[in-house]
Formats: sequence, C-alpha cells, structure tokens
Amino acid sequence: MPRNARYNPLALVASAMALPALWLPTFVARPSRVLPIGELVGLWQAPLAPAGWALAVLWALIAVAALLPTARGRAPLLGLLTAVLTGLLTAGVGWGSLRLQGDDPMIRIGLAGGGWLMLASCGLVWLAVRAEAGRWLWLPALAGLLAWVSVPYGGLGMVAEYRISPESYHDALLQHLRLVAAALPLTLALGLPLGIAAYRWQAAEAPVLAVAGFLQTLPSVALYGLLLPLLSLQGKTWTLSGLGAACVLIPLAVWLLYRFGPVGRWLAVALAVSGTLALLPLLGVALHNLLEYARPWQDTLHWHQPLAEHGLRGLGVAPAVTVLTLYGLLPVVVQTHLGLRAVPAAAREAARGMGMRPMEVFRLVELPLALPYLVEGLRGSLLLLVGLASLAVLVNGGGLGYYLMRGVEQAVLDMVLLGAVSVAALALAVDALLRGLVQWLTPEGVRP
Amino acid sequence: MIRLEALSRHFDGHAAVEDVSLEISGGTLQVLIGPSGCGKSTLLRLINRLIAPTTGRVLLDGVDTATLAPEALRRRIGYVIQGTGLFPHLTVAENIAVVPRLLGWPKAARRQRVEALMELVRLEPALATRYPAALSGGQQQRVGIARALAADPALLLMDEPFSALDPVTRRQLQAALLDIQQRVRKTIVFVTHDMEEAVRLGDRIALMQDGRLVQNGPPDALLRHPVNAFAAAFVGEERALMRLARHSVADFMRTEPPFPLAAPAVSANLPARQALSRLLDGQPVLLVTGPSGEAVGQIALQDFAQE
Ligand SMILES: Nc1ncnc2c1ncn2[C@@H]1O[C@H](COP(=O)(O)OP(=O)(O)OP(=O)(O)O)[C@@H](O)[C@H]1O
Ligand SMILES: [Mg+2]
Repeated sequence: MPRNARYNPLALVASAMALPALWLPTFVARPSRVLPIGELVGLWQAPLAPAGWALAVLWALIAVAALLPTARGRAPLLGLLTAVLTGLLTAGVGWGSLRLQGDDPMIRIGLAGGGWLMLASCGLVWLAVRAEAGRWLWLPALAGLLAWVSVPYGGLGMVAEYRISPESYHDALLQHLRLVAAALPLTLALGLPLGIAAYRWQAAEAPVLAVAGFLQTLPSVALYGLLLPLLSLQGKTWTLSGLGAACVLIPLAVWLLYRFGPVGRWLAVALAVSGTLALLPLLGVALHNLLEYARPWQDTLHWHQPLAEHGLRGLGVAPAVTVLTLYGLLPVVVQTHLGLRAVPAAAREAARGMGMRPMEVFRLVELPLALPYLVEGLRGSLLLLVGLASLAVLVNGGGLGYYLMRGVEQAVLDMVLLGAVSVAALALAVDALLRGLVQWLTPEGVRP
Repeated sequence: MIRLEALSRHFDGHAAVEDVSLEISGGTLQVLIGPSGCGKSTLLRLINRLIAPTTGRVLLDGVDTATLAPEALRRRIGYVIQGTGLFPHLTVAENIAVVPRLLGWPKAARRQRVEALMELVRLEPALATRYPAALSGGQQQRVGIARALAADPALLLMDEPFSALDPVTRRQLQAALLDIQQRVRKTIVFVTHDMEEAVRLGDRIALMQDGRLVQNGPPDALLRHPVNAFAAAFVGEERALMRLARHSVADFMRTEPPFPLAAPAVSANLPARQALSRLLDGQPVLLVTGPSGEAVGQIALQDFAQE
C-alpha cells in the first residue's frame, strides 16, 4: 500500500468480511468429544449478545477509520481499534466457551464458521495496520497477549484435548521441532553449496535448479514409499566401521579416478552426490539424537553391528529427516542462486580489481549483498519444514502430525484442530521472526 | 614503467586485443582511445591481470606480472572501473577505504586518508556517510577515483572515468585530474573514446582499432600526421580545432608592442579555444594580460593561422 493512500483498502475488506461473521454461528457446542455435530450459537444469542454488539460497533469504527485521511491520525487510530478488537476476541474465545460449556465437562465447545471468519478478519486488520504503519503493531500484540494470559481457555474443546495428556502434546511438539531442527542444517549444508555451484558454473545451473524443483513436485508419501526399502536395506547391511571406511575410501577413489583415470567430471559429480545422499539419513538420525539425548547415538557405539542398531531404519526418524531435508532444498538453492546473481557484476569486478582474494570477494562483497536473499531462502525452507514435519507421523517419525492423523482416524475434530492450530502458530512465529531478520540483515545502502 | 610485449587476448577464438606492444614511461598520462569494442577495457584488465593474456607479457618496472601474486599486484594498482562499480552496501568512506583496509592500515590512518582524498576530488565531507545510491553520477565517479587513489598507487588505470557526465562537470573533473597529476606525478593509463578529452589530458595517445594498436605518440603528432585513413577519420575534420584544447592564449599571442590597450582583455592562460570563439564572435583583436593584469601581448584571428 502506498504511504498516504486515500484510504486503507485492507481494513475496509476486513470490515466487509466481518459483516457475515457477525451473522453466522460463532460457536458450536457438541455434547461429547466424538460427536461431529452439535448446537450452533451465534453472536445474537443470549450469553453472547453484548459481545456481539460490541463487535458490531468496533467493526463499524474500523471501517470509518479506514476512510480517514492519513493526516487525521489514521494509523494510530487503526492501531488502537485493532488492539481493542484483538483483546476482545482473544478474551471472548476463552470466556465465551467457558460460559457455553456451563458445568458439564463432557460438552465440547469449538469455533463455528462465523468464529473462524471473525478471527480471519482480525488477522486481515493486522495486515492493514502493518501496511499503514508497522510500528503500531505492538499495540494489538500487547492487547492480545494481556487477554491471553488473563483469560482461562479450559472451555475450548481443543484445550480440553490438550489437557487429556499434556505430556504427550509436549513430546509431540518437541519431536516436531527436533525433526525440523535436524533437517534444517542438512538442508542448508546441501542447499548453499548447490546454489553457489548453480551460480558459479554455467553447466550446473540448469540441472541443479531442475532437480531441486523436481524434488518439490514429488508427493512425500511416494518418497517415503521409495525410502522404506532403501533405508531398511542400508540399515541392515551397513555398519559404522564399514561406513567410516567407505567415507574415506570412496571419495579418494572418485578423486583418483577423476584426476588420473577414465572417470569424467559428470560421473565424478554423480558419484559424489549419491555418496552424500547415502550419508544423509545417518546424519539426520545423529543430529536428531543429539537433540533428543544430547548424544548422536542412543546407546553405546556398535562399530560392527548393522546401522539399524543406531536407528537407521525404513521407518522412524531416518526417512522423516531425509524427506524433510530434500523438500527444504528448493528455497535455499533458488534463493542462494538468486542472491548471488543480484550482486552487481560491476561490484564484483571492482572487488577483484581492488585486489580482493576470492574468499574476500565472497566475504566482503557477495555475502553481505546476498545475505537478505539467503535468509529469505531460510525462511521459505523453514516454513516448508514446519508444515511437512506433520507428515512424519506416516513413517512413525512422530511430531504434531500425530494429532492430525489420530484425530481423523477417530473422528475427533478437536484433536485435528489442536494439531493444525499448533502447526499454523509455529509457522506464523517462524515467519514473523525471519521476516524481521531479513529486514535487519539487508544492508542499508540497498534498502528500498 | 609499463611494457606490453606482443600482448594478445582471445575470447572464444575472437581477438579482443591482438599483438599490442606499448611502452609507458613513469609519470606519463597515457590515453587509450578507439571506437567501442576495440579492446581498450580488455587491455586495462590485462595490465592488472583481471584477465590473463593469451600470448605476450606485461612488464611492470621490468618484472613480468605473471610471476607476481595477482591480488598483491592489484593492490598496488589503482583501478577506476568503467561505470564506477561502487559497492552499494558500503558508505562513501568505506568504499574509499577498501584497499587500505585490505592492506591492514589502522583505523585512524584510514580515516585520515579518506578525508584527504575526499578533499582532493572535491567531495563534501558530509557525503562520507552516504551510500552510493544516494549520490549523483558525478559524485559517484569522484568516489571511484578517490577509491583508486586510496593506497597511493604509483600506477593508475582509469576506464572512461568521466563518461556519464555533463560537459561542465566533466571539465571540472578533467581539470581536477590534471591538477592532481601536476602535484603527485603518477603513471596513468586513461581510457576514453572522446578525442577532445584525449587531447586535453594525454601526454601520449594510443589509438586502437579491432584490438590492434594503430598509432601511439604525443597528441600533436596524432592530430597532424595520422598514419592511415582510419586514424584520420577517427581524429576527424576538426583536428586543427582539437589541437587548441591543449593550448592557451600565451601559445599564440604576438608579444611585440604596441598593444591595443582599448581592446577587451583576456588572461594569457585562457584556453585558446575560448579566445578563438570570442574573435569569431566579431572581436577584431584581444589584449592579453599577465597574472597581475599588465599587458603582455595581443591576439587576432590571423595569429591562429601561423605556426
Ligand atoms: N569476458 C569476455 N568474454 C568474451 N568476449 C569479451 C569479453 N570481454 C570483452 N570481450 C569482447 O572483446 C572486445 C573488446 O571489448 P572491450 O570491453 O575491451 O572493448 P572497449 O574498447 O572497452 O569498448 P567500450 O568503449 O564499449 O567500453 C569486444 O568485442 C567484446 O565483446
Ligand atoms: Mg570499455
């Protein structure tokens, strides 16, 4: 949105969206956990009516504020109204569900269409405030936080579902984060060099980008299916000592064959790539275990027993981290490539002409100019990983996907919601954090 | 002193520079001139070894540059890249201090050097903390020149440093360069495709065509005796006028009295072209005055015809 626009279009759209939300049922009260249908309650109905009126007035005010000229304090006013709205909604969800539940703990309260739409409209107003003047966002953030800590949410079905077993929720959440945290360094370790290679060598550009893009189009279930026999075979037949020897001997052999023998460059590259890919699952397991048990192997080292002893199996963490690593590649590779291409050729030539060594050119010129792009790639990759880690449950890899899968299987809507809302919140938090980081890392001289 | 020996550089079989031999003695301002694509930039980049020659050698003070570490070599050679090539993420001061920083100068020394250089190229001190994007084209080119001068190199390579400027700024910077050259004698290789600029600045001018050296010598020699049809065409029909660019009124005036004291006065070190222009405007004769305003000679149209 251009600064000083005549009105704030986002805020207007949000108000329009909120109109049907005032009408549609806000909550649904289901008599028990497993029953999919229940009684719908709207904002115009008895216990909610005062909140309904307050919301109607608030949205009208927001629409009016959106039409004010900038000079008349549109930004602070919108910020203030959004703060009130956020506080009211955050508190309302908690209080409302508690009131509707009454004293029957079996009753499950969830949001109905109108409730979700109302929250979505509120999200849109946040965007409107950000477009208007981002520095006012702290106001609604503070209001939301205050309401959040001061209101009980026990009435909400989702929370009830959490309370059934907080330990297993925390386990799932931690496992979700562990999977992401184990895959991310591997994605970066593979993606950054690939992006740099795609930039440096003409011949590598098309194949690298094509492969990274192709990986993205594969359905992850198919990839799991492919990995299952491969990894279980690898886990059964390889040992740590054998692998250690292979890690030394194979690169040596490839290098010797390339340097003095008949192996062409592309064959050498192909061998190196497949060797790296073969190591990936084991590294993934080690990283994951490092995060879970503070050591790479769950128990003592078994040098001569199959790697399956260390957790390299067709099911579990190994395929989960491998698949995540491969899926996360595309944003990192593309953004690295893009970032390096965005470095002006003249600046690079000048850097060399001033007498910078190749590493100095990289460190002092290319890296600072490409860094915002790299962090942008990191952000895209992290978002993908946070979302896709939900599927790890398919191969018994754990994570928040557990709630999605079990919830669907047992037809417990609140369980599905608990999983979905957690994943979405995680993604939003990651997104906001890294957007800030990009802003901060963009060199001042190249900021728009 | 630089010696280029039978220097060639081919790109995919196409010769960008072909068999160029050239000697540039210390303290001279050597101009490289020629049409677009004739290999001027390539020749510069061969000198600081941004690219390696296909055949031939570059000798710097008698040492073959192929035997030196390229980065160390380049840190000794100032380089003003075509189209400024400033680092967009560094401030003006940081841009200028790049080479001193690479050479590990202490901070205080770098700051002093930046201040001195900004004064030398006439950049206001307030610009030091600006980023290149917030500078005018002329200011950017000045920063480029200051950056090349930062480590006080004895050899300076300048690739069309004044190309993107209006005539007034361009003249200012040319004068500034001549001024700098007068004070701190450097060996300068200066690329341009503007004949007038070449004549104004160059101690020697080398004319290039399709990667080859056509003619090299003092400006007057090129203007008066072009070696072939290409050189004559490149120098152009105005070559006589062009020659005036290097001369002042003092070079043409008659010093025998009596002086036409009633005629309008001009200074003896006024560029000859400006005096000519005033005579062509209808002024029959001009009085020439010395530094303290005393009459030292006179000049009229026919004085330009002699010589
Ligand atoms: N890196 C390169 N790869 C391939 N060809 C090149 C390369 N650099 C220069 N050339 C070619 O060499 C020739 C000379 O180029 P150069 O840049 O030296 O010309 P120039 O005299 O500086 O021209 P201009 O006045 O337009 O800057 C051109 O035909 C150009 O296309
Ligand atoms: Mg050029």
